Amino acid sequence: MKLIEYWAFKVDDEWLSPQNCMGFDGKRHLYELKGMRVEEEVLVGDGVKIRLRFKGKKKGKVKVQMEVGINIRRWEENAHDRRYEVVGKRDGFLVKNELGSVRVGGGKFLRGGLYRRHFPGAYHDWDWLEEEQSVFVPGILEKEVDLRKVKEVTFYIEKRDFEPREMGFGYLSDFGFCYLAGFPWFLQFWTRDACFIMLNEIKKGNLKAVKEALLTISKFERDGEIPTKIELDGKAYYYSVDVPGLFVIALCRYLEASKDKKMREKMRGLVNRILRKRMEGLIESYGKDTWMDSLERDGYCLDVQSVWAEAFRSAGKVYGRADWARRGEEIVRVINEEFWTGDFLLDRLGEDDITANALFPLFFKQLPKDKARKVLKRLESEEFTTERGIRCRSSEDELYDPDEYHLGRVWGLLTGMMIVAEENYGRAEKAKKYKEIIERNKGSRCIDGVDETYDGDSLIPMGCCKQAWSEVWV
Amino acid sequence: MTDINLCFEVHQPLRLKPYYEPDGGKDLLERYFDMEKNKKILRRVIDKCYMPANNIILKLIDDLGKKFKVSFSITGVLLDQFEMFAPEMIDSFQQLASTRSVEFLCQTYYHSLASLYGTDRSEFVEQVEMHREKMKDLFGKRPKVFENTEFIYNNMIAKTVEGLGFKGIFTEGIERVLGWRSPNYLYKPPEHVAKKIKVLVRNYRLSDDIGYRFSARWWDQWPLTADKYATWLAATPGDVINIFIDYETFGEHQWPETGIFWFLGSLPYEVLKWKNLKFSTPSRTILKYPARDVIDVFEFNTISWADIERDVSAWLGNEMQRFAYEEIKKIEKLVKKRGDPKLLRIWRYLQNSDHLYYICTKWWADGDVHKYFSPFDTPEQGFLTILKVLSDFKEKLL
Repeated sequence: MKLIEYWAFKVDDEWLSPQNCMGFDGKRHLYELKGMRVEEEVLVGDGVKIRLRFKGKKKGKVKVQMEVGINIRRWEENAHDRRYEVVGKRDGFLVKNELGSVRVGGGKFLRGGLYRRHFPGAYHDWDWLEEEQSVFVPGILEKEVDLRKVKEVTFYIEKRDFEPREMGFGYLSDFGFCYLAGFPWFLQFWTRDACFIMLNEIKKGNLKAVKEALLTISKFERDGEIPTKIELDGKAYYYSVDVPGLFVIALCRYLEASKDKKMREKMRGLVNRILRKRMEGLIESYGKDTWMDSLERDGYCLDVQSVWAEAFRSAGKVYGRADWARRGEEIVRVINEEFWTGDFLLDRLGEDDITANALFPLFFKQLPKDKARKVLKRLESEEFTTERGIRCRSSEDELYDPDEYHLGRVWGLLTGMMIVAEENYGRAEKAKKYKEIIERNKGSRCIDGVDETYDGDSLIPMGCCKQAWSEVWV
Repeated sequence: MTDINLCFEVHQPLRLKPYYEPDGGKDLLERYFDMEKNKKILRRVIDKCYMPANNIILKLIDDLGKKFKVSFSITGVLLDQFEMFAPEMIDSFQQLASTRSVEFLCQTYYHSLASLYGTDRSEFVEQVEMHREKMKDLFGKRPKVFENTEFIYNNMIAKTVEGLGFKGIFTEGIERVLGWRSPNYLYKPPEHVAKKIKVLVRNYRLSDDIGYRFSARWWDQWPLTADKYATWLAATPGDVINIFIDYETFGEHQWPETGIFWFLGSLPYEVLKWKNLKFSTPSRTILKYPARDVIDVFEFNTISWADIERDVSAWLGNEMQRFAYEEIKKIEKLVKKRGDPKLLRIWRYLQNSDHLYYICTKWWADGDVHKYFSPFDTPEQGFLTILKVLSDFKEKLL
């Protein structure tokens, strides 16, 4: 669902606009107005907060007005004729139509009520097919600011039925709670991402939210398959080789931490359906069904075997099933024998790619210490480790391409996994180093956000600017 | 984002002496092949094309880093000549290899038609393995993508090449096989033929714009500038555009005066101005994109990139060519029975497809191309020469 088309500010009858915008530092816009400068900072998290800071010599009172173009609509929808109902509130207003509602606050509400058409500018400028949207302006929010006392004001916009959770990516959809993958592009429940988030949330003790997320995802299980992506309208997409395994791992970690016997029994059938399909041989991948979903990694992938080994091992332990535990150990044996090259691990059986997927067996503690040390040493080297974190592919690899998603970029996910890998093998100092990298990465393009990826050479942030599985590790 | 695979075929045949000399000496290489002429031509091509083009590409990689990538398919016949006459060229290509922005493709070592030798694939496989090992020895990496001699392709070739462990194979993107489909996607052979190998098809229109039409004043798009060409690429939808041309285009087929080196030097910059374009290499493309559909090329419909027909008639189109081809094949058993590597090498040099290409008698537009490359005055002269050489060679074997 989309809620708004735009917002705009006027300070003492002067709009903050491209004409007086002096620049953008990656976090804030700076505007030069008559006698003062105004800094506009946008905080995205559980809703949106917009903070205006006033700088310069101007004293006395200024009048700040905010206009919001409301458009509560479906993502794919263009102009429509829906009507809105507006309820005035003490510090703003609530506006709703049959699809949902949005709360805007931070000032005194001056009721208006204007329906109009809106043409998002970029499309217009590029002479593309003109996108036309409907906008409703319920009125103006106004706030008088005494610059002698106050130097900043905050306005906010949020979905009314939003229920804040322990972390910013939690979201209550119509069909249940789960974790969004990242802002602003991944506003869906990507279950692979959600599983990595849950592994961290369990460590932090946020068991209630994790349980809800597990239950939400479990509603979509079909014949032992877990969807890779669930849209917020409930449409689910099933196309991964590893997500059901990751789900079992997250579930088992939750059950171990919570001792929630009721949940364990409730999920027994589901776990059984997932695992019984995969009791024979190695798990084969086809097309783009691994986490490196921009690549066609056909065959037997290390990360996939590692995930399933852990799924079988942990389910065997939690449910007391020796056959599952044995199956897990068997896959671990294959990883240690068939994938082992002498100082590293193959990315895929029969292929010579050198990738950071060697991290997976370390993350799940599936290698003995001597082998782990060799792999960690290489991952810590400049081949993989950069100032921004871990590259997904060795810079020495023939196909290394620093700005390709899964052929060379640095991934927040991998950097986080490296922390756990180092900890698993008693290298606390090294783990600290990778934690510090993530801390340093915070806020490069979004307040407190850690980017999804970085160019493998230039280290320029790329992809989503606030990616959940990049920042949950610290 | 569309991948641009800029690939170069690099080949010089080992030309036969235009007239067979019965008293040509005991060394069969000297006896049959015009080594002086081969050396002279190679030096000319190195000076006019290979060295300046390599230097431009090296500079582009220096300046643009990983953003610019190219691929080379260098025949074993040419590598042998480099080793004999111009080892500095090996160094130059090794320098390119060390940038890791260059992919080397595999082909038959002797640029032969061995892929067409019926059901017995052993000679074809041996030549492919030889080339793959040569690539590994010289450039440190076993190629994963195969480009058969002159893009010759059919289902059985795809099957054999997959069996050799290759991930991809190149062929020509011709309408008689693609139909309404675009050449700018990956394809695969039918399931019953091969399971995993992907087929990269050449965009012959965009390739020929550089390879053939670049300096053609009759062409309504002349002069072709790098920014214009990049605009065409940017407006071409698809996963990948395979531009595959003879490396000799630069400075040899298209003379320096045409501005071809300027074009090469500025094309990457113009391409990179477009956000929807990205230079890539065949192996990367294969890893990134799925095969979008099946192409089914039965043996009687074999494809190549030669002439208007895009079939094998450039080498096997007339009786003389077919006779010489059969004669070459017949010698296989005799040569292999002797087990003499020197004799085997000579026989394999004789398999070079160029010898048959020169015997082509097509009289229409393509005839000019055959004539342009041929060291013989007429196809008949080429035929007589190779027959005499084969006859002499057989005598040596018996």
